[in-house]
Amino acid sequence: MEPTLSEFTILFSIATGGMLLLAFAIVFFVIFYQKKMLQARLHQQQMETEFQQKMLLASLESQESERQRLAGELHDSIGAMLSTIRLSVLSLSRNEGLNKESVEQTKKMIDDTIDSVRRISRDLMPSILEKFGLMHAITEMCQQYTTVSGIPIPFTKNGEGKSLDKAKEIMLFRLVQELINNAMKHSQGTVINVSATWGNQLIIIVEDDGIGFNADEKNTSLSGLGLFNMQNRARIIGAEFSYAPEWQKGTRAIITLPL
Amino acid sequence: MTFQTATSHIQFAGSILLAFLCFRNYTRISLPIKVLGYYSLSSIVFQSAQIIVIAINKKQYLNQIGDGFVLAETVMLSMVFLFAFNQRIATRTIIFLIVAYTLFYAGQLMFNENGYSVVRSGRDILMIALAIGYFYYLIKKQPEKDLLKFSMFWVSAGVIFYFSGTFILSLFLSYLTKASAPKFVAALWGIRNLFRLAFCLVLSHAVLLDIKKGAYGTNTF
Repeated sequence: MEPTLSEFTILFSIATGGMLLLAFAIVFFVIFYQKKMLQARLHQQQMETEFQQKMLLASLESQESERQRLAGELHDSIGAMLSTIRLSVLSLSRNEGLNKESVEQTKKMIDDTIDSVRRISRDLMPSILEKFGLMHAITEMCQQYTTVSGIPIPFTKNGEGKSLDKAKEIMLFRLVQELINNAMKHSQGTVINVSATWGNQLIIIVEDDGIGFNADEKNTSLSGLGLFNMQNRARIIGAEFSYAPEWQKGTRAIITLPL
Repeated sequence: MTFQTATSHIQFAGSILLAFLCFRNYTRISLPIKVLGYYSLSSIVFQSAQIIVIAINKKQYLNQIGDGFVLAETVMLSMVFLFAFNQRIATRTIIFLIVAYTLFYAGQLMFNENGYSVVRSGRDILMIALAIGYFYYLIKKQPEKDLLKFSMFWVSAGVIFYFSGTFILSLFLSYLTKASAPKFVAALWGIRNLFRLAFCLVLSHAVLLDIKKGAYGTNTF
């Protein structure tokens, strides 16, 4: 039996509607599926980044603990042994048969060695950082570097300091240490200013009045691996590290840590 | 002016808009979109020919013009996908499909009195299959960017919607012309014209996206 016009119209409408629905379903599926794939890829990238950061953190922590162990060994073992040797030399010097000048020279060498061991031990792990915190450790480091290099390194502290966890303090200390070292080695500046400003975030600035450098040039020692390492260190503790591009004279490095 | 004539003029305007966008920005669009420009141009040529024939032939359509456009449309839209895929296997497959369809088309129109309906249905199926194939290609390639910003995504979406919408009409075309009242067929044809207008607008959106991204910027991964 042939369908009537109205029956045919209904059937035709249903069939066309069905086809359009099917088309809509296909397009919707493609959009939805691609978005889901993008999210999955993004999630995987985040996981990889987190894993890399954890690996880096573990590596840095192990480095720090090794430094701490070495510093302890140097200070407690070699330092103590050198002190004992010094005392023995002192008691020997009372012996009349010995050449006094030679003994004095040996004493001086032992004193120099003791100083060196103390300095190395302190550089490896400043006990002041553990005992009195980051601000005191930076202050002491600036004073020591001023003495060693002859370049004035004033440290200015603004705002009320807060206590940070040990890992963050060590990372920040190492960053400042590396920045000061870089400035002393490469900047040819006459002064290195270090400042720490406390507020909603801790902003540490290390600046010099030297020759400066172009952070975009990948082949310089400062902007290459060193910069990458410093950025990584900062990222691990949730801080940002950058060089101020608008800084006209010398170099200005900024570390920003949200508190 | 009847509903069919009015919608016919509107969809004709859609073709003109598409052609204008393509040839106005010809140097800035990618190869598949350039082919889309030629498709719209062929549409204008065939529709102009039909208008002239109607004017001369006292309001009588010439079916051969419509049939001719079916082949031109199938070949050109297949070429759009051929250049969009830009892969050897896809190129060979699409060329094979074009040749097979052309032979099928010629056979149907020569030996089957209902061939005009069959060739249109065949065209619709082929276009839907190519659009689905391109969607599969998009998913497989997993472009990083948002799919909605890809010109070829919109072309495929337009193709799949338009030819899905017209498929049932194509399938029953011969039955309708024989068994239904001319007014009913004209009304359905008017609706089909509105589908085509929507198709032209979606394609125009794809052209605009392609212009923004520059030639080959979005269609090749």
